[in-house]
Amino acid sequence: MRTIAIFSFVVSLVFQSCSSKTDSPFSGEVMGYKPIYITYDRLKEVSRQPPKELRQSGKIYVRGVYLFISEPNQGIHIINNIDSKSPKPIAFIKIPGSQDVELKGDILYSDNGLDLVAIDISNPESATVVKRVADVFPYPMFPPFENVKFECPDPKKGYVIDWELVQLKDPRCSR
Amino acid sequence: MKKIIPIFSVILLLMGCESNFNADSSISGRGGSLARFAVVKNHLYVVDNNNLKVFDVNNPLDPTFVNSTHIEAFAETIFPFGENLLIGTRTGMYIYDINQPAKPTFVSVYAHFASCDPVVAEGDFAYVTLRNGTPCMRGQNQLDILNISNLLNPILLKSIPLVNPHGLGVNGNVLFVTEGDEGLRVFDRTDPTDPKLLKFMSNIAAFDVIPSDKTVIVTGRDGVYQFAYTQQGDLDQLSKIAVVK
Repeated sequence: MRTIAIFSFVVSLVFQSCSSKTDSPFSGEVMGYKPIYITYDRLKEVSRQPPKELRQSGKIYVRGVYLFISEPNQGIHIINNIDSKSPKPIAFIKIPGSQDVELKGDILYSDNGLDLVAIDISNPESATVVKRVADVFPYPMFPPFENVKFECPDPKKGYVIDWELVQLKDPRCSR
Repeated sequence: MKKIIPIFSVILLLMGCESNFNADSSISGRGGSLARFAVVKNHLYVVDNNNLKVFDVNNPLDPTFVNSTHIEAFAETIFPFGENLLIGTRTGMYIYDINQPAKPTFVSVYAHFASCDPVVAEGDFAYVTLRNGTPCMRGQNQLDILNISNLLNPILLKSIPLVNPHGLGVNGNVLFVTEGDEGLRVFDRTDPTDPKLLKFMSNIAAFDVIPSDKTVIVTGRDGVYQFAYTQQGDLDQLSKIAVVK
């Protein structure tokens, strides 16, 4: 019995090793990642807000004297960096589900969950979504961590905006 | 000189209204080495999982999806390099030709043993970091220096062992490599084929880096740092935008 268990463990390791997502039912309680959902309506709430504290630093982008810092899944901080000894936050562009930032002219491109959004940031009072290209990015089917167990996301429940590490019972997904 | 005029005009505009966003659109921006988005002329390229997606941004206000090209690897980063895109994947550096901007065509791949991570290039040389933090756990932690003068056939010149590399950036003769929680390395690449370690700053958690001529922006777990740097690898912290937990 034990030999079979070890053998199947080894086999599962071999099969797991290079796949980004594998369904492997797990019985019992284990620490793993649970999706945190937001509704598809709330996901699309893009807005310009006053500067706020940086809670996590993600990707960065520089243009001229401006520095853009992505706060993963939350949005983009715009910093006036004309004096690199004293960078001044100017605004926060709330973009749920955002990871990346690129610019062309005054138009900022980012991923807003499943969609690409083009946001006009030339007006200091607002951030207008001038174009939304829907359903061009994949739904997050797994957490951004490796060798973990997690509760399989269900797109019917909404978009996975984040993951929390909790005690899971019989998680069906792992990567 | 060409670059100075727009920067100067931005400064003038800023003096007028500090909170305004009035970046001169003639200045092109750049992301860190971990970027998945890149605008090259009139197209936006995005990598996600196994796809390279192209959007037409000829009219910046009206991006339109053009097509998606399948990449035979899990793509994580994109580095525009002249008429080419250097794509960092979990199994190697993929080169795509974008002479026809809406139709990226595969040129070659520098394949390595399952690792992830990005690539930057300057002149005839590309720098690729490999990290073993992938689901495969078989990779190495190292910096590979490649000769890419013939894009059809990237040649490995040298590998330098690292600990936990994440992002990297080149400016002139200086090469920065972030080592995650382990720190930040500064290399002299006066000989671009044989970078020499100048400094290893271990009291910083560093993920990505954007070097300019005299300063470098470094992101990490605790915030976004800016340093003045010298060709000798000396780093002098100018500021830090702290992450508030």
